[in-house]
Amino acid sequence: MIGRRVLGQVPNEGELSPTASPNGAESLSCPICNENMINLGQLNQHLDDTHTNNDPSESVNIGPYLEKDLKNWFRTKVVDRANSLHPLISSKLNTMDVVDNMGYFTISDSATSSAPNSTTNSRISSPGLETSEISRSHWKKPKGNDFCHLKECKRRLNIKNGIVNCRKCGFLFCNEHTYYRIKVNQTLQYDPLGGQFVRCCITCFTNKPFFNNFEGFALDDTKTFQELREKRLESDRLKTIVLEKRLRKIFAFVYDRDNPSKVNNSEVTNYVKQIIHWQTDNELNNCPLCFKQFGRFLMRKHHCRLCGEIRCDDGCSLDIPMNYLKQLFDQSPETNEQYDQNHPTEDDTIVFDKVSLRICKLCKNRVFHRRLFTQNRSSSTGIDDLLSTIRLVNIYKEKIHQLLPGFEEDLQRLQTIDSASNSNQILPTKELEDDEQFLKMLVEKRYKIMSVFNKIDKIAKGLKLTIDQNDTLLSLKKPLAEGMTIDQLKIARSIYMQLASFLQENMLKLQKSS
Amino acid sequence: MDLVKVGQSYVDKIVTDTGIKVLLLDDITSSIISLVSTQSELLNHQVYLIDKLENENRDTIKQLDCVCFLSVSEKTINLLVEELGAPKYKSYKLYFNNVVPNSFLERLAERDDLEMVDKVMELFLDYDILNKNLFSFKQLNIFNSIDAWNQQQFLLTLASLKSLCFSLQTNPIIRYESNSRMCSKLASDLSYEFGQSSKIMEKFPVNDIPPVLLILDRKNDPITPLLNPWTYQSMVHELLGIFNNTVDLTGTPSDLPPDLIKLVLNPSQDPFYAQSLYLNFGDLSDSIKTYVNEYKEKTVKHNSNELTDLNDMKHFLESFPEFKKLSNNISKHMGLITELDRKINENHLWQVSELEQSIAVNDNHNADLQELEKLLTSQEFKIANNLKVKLVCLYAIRYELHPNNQLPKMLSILLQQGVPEFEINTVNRMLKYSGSTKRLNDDSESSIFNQATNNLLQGFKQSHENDNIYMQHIPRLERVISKLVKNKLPTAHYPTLINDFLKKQRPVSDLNGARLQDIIIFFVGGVTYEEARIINNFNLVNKSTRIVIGGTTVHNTNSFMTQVLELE
Repeated sequence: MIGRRVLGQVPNEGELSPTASPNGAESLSCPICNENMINLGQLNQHLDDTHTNNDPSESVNIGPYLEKDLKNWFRTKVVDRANSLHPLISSKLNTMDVVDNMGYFTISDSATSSAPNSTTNSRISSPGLETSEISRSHWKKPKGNDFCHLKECKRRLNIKNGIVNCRKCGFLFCNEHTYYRIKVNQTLQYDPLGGQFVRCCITCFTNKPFFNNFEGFALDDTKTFQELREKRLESDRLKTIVLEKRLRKIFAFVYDRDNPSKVNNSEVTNYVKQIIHWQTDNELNNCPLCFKQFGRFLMRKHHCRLCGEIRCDDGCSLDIPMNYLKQLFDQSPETNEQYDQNHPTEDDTIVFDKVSLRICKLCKNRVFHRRLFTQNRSSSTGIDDLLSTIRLVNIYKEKIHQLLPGFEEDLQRLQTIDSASNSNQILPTKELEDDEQFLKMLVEKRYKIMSVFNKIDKIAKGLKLTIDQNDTLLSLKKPLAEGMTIDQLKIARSIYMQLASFLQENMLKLQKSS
Repeated sequence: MDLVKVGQSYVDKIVTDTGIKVLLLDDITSSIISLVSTQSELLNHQVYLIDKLENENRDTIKQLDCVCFLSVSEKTINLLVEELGAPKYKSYKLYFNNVVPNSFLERLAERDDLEMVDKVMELFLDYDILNKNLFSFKQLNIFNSIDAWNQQQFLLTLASLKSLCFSLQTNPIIRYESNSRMCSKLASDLSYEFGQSSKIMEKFPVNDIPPVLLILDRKNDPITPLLNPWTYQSMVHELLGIFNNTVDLTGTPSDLPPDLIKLVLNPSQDPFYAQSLYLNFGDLSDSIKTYVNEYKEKTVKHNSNELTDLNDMKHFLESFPEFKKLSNNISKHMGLITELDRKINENHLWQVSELEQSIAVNDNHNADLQELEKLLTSQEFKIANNLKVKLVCLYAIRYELHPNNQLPKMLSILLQQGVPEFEINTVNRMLKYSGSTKRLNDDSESSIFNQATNNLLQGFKQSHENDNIYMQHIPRLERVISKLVKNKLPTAHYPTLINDFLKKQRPVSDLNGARLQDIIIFFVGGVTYEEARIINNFNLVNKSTRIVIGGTTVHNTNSFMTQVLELE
């Protein structure tokens, strides 16, 4: 018996990893009937099920000779192997026997009589088990007039319904509500790995940690991503700093003169040649970026003034007016703004039209990609109106959420006062005055709230108008109204939808209370 | 286990950051997210613009933050790399719906020199959540040939199933049906991947009773998808078709207003549907009657003669939106039920279903044969071709080994009745796919044709309507689960795979506990709404075991027969 069980465990013990089984699948076959097997586990089971003589119909097929063979095979291959694994697995098997033994869960055991017997029995039969006992000192003693501890049950506890202690919390329950198991350690704490299975009540079962946690698992890769990005950006950044330094030097060369307007391109080029490595002309036959062949007249070689390397003029490098470059360069928050103030832009335009700087594609991206991006950031317009509408609406909504609950409370107070006055009670004059003031305040509050609602309503109507107009244009396949894009229309629709549902929800409250 | 809660927790993660934002999706994720959230819910989280990543005509809106919820594929990564090179929005938060390979992360990081990305997260939502215990991968054509995967679909299934287990924070023991090569391949590859994912697995909470994933093959129970179901959700899918929780009524003869053509059937948004989706047709009619009466009671008060009182009018105005919602919902379900009723009468489904049940449940060859012949040739009941083929399929499977099997005769009757030959082929394909030699004979005492047996678990017993002749058949799944829950599925027919990580984590003896707690069931070749109903009933009664079920797709008879027909 033990031998067969061990056999059942063999594929789980790691000699055969799950990956191996799909590939190894074809090669496995039963040594007795040559039936193909998917993995060792199935083979073992197959041997257990088909080639034992329990089943008379099968044993006829096998015949006595084969049967003997099987027994031999079984002895040499399996039992021996099981014996060699003995110390590790047999102890596990013993634990398993206890776990499998559901006897003492299903027998309705009262705390006093049958339970101790059944547990001790199972212990005796499995000597390999650790002798740790789960304490019973916390068990509530039945008083003869007990009810199931579960609030929703409260059933009377007797022989029929059962009188069972939850092994974890110790309270008394009926059979139905202790049909659960939980693993606890000696301190009665839930311990999924080290603990021991004990019978428990439904409350202890469903209050297990994580039992009701249905938060989907998520993995944050931000750090990994940032590290990857940092690794790549770092080398880039160094190169960019070098290029920016050169550019600043060139600007200084031009601007720090007494008379910048006299500077011409060849002077700049000569200066550049002093500060960078100027690639020699005959080194290259093709543009290193686009691989086009250089010629004598067309496709001439040009030097990038920032890296000094040779590029073609056909998309890989460009002559850019210095004033434009400087403007772009200075816009970045990284450079000091004072510079701009000292040199009014009007002067710059006049002066630097003549001077220009050739920059290649790579250097442009290194130095200006971020700058160009930040410049474009604030360029679109129509969307700003929509965004400020959203912000405005949010403020109004917040206001209403602040005002409305207080107003409703006041109204309730008014109603109680009303009912009081209806019952013909003569109120002292002072209270009457208070009432008047209270009423006045109420009207004011109402007015305040209504005015906010009106503002929201106005916005909603305005939006609806634009949406409808543009929708008709869309349906006629005409271009949208000036300054309007599909995306903006979508956003407008969203805002309108939100407003409509907000008004519907909250105006009603107000009407109810009017 | 509640899949809807899982889905919503993911949506919360995606949109939770404050501020006005854009949500970018792709084809796959937009259908996933539409099943667990609505536009107004997203709007409450300030998502003012929802668009697809592949839409090139998006405006540049540098004022807005952007959150992306994207599937993991070569295509989306390419699009994303492009997007990051020329960013359209202020910042990007990237959420992926499955495991992201490191090479993808590297490519994105390389391109993000403007440092636009402030967050990258892997969420594990690579599957459709249809209701709280039903999921689907929406895959058809998973076969390369009989019992062999189409490689591409296999990888998708593997990834989706992995994401499902991850999302539920489970590292399950895997069991599968030994007679199916498809199941065994899926099980072993999955087990291997779990064993390799120790970085993720070690973050999961450890449970005292380890969860189990059971992988089943549709071929072991071809009967359930062939029978006409009689509960609401199943019927709608059988007769009208539910896709992404939406029913399309285009082309029905009844005149429907345009807003009642495409109906969303989502139990988490529609209280009446949540209440009645598992009701049988009789109870359903009662249920809708009370629903209508409730509505009438509320509105009658507001009829002109009773609306004299100012207070009444006020009350009516107050609850007007509620009324409108209610009346919309009523007309939606009324429309659906009328349409179902029409289909039932048009196709004589009462008669057809009676025969179906008789074939599936009773062992009475001669009577069934007679009745079948009668229905196939009847002038009185004109039955659609696909129903005729289906009936013969049922007959063929049921009486395949019967000595007096008259299948050739039935096939020739079909031909005489003008059923196209390629449709008739379904019968033979069905036998090839799921004949008696192909099915798992794990249970001598109860075949797939039996009625309820006594050893079913509590919860199943209650769900049976044995007195209802249209619902006598009990899907095989019930018996499988009854054994599985008690951990008594024979390992010979349902081998067990325990991945390397689990083996390291806990002693093997632990993995042999008795009653199971969390179970995931996956049908290779498609699940049915009827089986989902069974699971729901089971979950309602059994507090100690929780099951979610799903499949490569959710079948009705037509989609199942098409799948079988396209096998070769």
